[in-house]
Amino acid sequence: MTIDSKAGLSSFQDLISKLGSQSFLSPKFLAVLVVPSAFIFSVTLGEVDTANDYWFWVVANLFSISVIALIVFVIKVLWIRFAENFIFPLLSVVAISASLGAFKGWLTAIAVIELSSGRLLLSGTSENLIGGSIAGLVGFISASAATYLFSRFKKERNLLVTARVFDQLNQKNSLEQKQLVALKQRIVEFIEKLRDDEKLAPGMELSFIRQLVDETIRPLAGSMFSQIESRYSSFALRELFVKAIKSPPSAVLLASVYLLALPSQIAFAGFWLGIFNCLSVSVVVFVIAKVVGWVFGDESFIGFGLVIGLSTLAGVVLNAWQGVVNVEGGFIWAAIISVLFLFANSSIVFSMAKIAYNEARANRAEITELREELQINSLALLAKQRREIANQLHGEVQSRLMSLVIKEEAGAKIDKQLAINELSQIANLLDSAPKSSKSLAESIDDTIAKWRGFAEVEVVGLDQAPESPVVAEIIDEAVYNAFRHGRANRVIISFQSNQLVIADNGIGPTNGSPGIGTQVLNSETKDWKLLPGEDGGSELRIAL
Amino acid sequence: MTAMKMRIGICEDDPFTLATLDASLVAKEVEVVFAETSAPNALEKFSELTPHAVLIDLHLGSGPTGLDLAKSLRGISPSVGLVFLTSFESPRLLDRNFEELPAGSQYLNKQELASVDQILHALQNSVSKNRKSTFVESSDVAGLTNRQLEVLEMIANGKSNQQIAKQLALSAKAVEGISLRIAKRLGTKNDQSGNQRIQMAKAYLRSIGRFDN
Repeated sequence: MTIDSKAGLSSFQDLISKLGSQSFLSPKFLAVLVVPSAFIFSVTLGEVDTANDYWFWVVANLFSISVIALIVFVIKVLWIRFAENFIFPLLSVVAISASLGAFKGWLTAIAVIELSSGRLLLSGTSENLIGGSIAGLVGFISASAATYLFSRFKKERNLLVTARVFDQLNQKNSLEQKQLVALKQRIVEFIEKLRDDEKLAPGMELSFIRQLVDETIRPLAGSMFSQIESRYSSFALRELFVKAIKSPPSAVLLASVYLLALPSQIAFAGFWLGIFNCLSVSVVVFVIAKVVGWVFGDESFIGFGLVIGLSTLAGVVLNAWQGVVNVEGGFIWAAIISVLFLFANSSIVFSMAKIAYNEARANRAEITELREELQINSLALLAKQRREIANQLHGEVQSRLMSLVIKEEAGAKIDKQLAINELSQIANLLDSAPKSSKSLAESIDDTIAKWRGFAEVEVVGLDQAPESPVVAEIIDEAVYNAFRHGRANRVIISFQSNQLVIADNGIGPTNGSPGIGTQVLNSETKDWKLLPGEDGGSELRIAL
Repeated sequence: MTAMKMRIGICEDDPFTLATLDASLVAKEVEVVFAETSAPNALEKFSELTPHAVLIDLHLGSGPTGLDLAKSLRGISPSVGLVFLTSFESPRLLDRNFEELPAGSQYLNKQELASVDQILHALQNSVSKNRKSTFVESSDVAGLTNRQLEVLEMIANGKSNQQIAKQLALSAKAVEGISLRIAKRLGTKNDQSGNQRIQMAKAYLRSIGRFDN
């Protein structure tokens, strides 16, 4: 995984432009925001003079919400299936949200009329259309904004976790590189000592080697084999939730939530009075949230409780005063509980989104900083490099040294000169420890060396070759195939203008099943052909 | 064994095994003239030092195999003794196009090896006048067709029938048929003894020396 990502969360404009992305019409947030609020208001406002039974409203709302949910689901499925990368323009986001809301308002009104045996309970459905469209706007747009912010936060957080692990690995790596240099230094010094000091006690070579292996090489290889354990958790919704209930909600967002109640308000109090009711509750809620925010600061569980409590109280009192909520019987409690739930529910979602936004920005700053500190940006590459060095230490270096010890124990005589030779070779090996990444020329040299004596590999026009690890892999695979399947012992690799031609002197293309080579080819470029060669053998042509 | 020390070469890609073999053969009074981890180096040393016999690991990493090396060695010296030391039950598991081992070569399975003397004995056999190849195809897995082997290898690598079908350009149904025939051949059953696919993968891994019971 690389930590290079150009996508950033920089501004409010960015958020607006992403409203129509996959986070739009999220079924999850439809459930969290839109469904409860619609349901709640049917309970609160059922028992008013126009409707005899609030259960009509519950059932009607459930019906209309199900229809809307079905529509949203179908849009979403088609969207993901056919045009995954499509982004709805902002205007269409507004239009779709408003029409879905209006449709829901109209559907609810129709359902109530049906349920109450044809008696007209409402002054008309046009009010439901207007109220519903405003509620739809607020509900769908805020839900998709929250969804988008969550997904951004998740991405940034994962990126940050990778960058931190990378940073740790990098630090560990530079320490190990120093130890490698020190190891080589020790060996070189010991060789000098073996050469110069005639009086060195017999067997010193072997005890030095044993000590070197036990105290330095084994621990170093072990340390290089071990991976960095990630102590950083990635995306945690719970963490956001806890933070959200510990901070007073945003005044603007909480105030706008009450607009979700607009269709019911208009239906019961008439067009103008309904709008007035809704706006007055919104303004009061706004003022309460602002004042509490000032008094209690950004982080306060009491502040959160107080805003929700006072807002609920204000909402219910204002509604009761206007006669929208029936003060008699248990309905006042139903009203209090449902309005409380509406505010608590949406303020938590909004606060979580806001915190996600802020954290994502802070994460981004840290990522940028880490990326500047790190030299290479591929975690996989760094890990691979360390594994190669560790393999070499553990495998070749250690085995060669131990073979001297084993031979001596088996009865062979190890003299000073043999020890010097072997140690010098080890020092050379440490010098040629795998480098950060191989160039194409180096990789091709490896391939040539691997087949020396079995297949002769010649390269033409390397200066025209693009520098890419994939090209190196394709060549390695092609030589293998030419030898193994084509039974060739001569392969010519030539880089021509925009294409790579790999020709061999084998038996020509066979109808064998596609192997790893073609998999690599197909994943990188579809543009390749395997043809019979002009002078026998086969010719693989790949567009670069 | 004549009074003359036997001169041998070793090619084994795992450095530790190489060092151990080298040391234990030296202790048995064998002269090890080269001990190399790659086929090209072994080939080069062979032309230079011409040992009586060569001890070869079949699997030598991603380049030429031990079989490729053996053929080249016989090309240089038709009388050279060849001993294969391997964890593969059959050479076909390494190279599906494998036809037969070079005449008179000795085949030692690493898992069945109990002492250095066995290696020594094989080396002596490989250079004797009336040398006979010791390789007898006995592995269940080796009895499969090339296509079946290919599919089995993919199953052992955790691929689904669908993925295998895609890679081999076959229908999923054909792959299913092949995998059923493999199961029949290997005698794996789909009962309480365990998931059939896993049993098949185990049989494969066992045959290439990567799995013990």
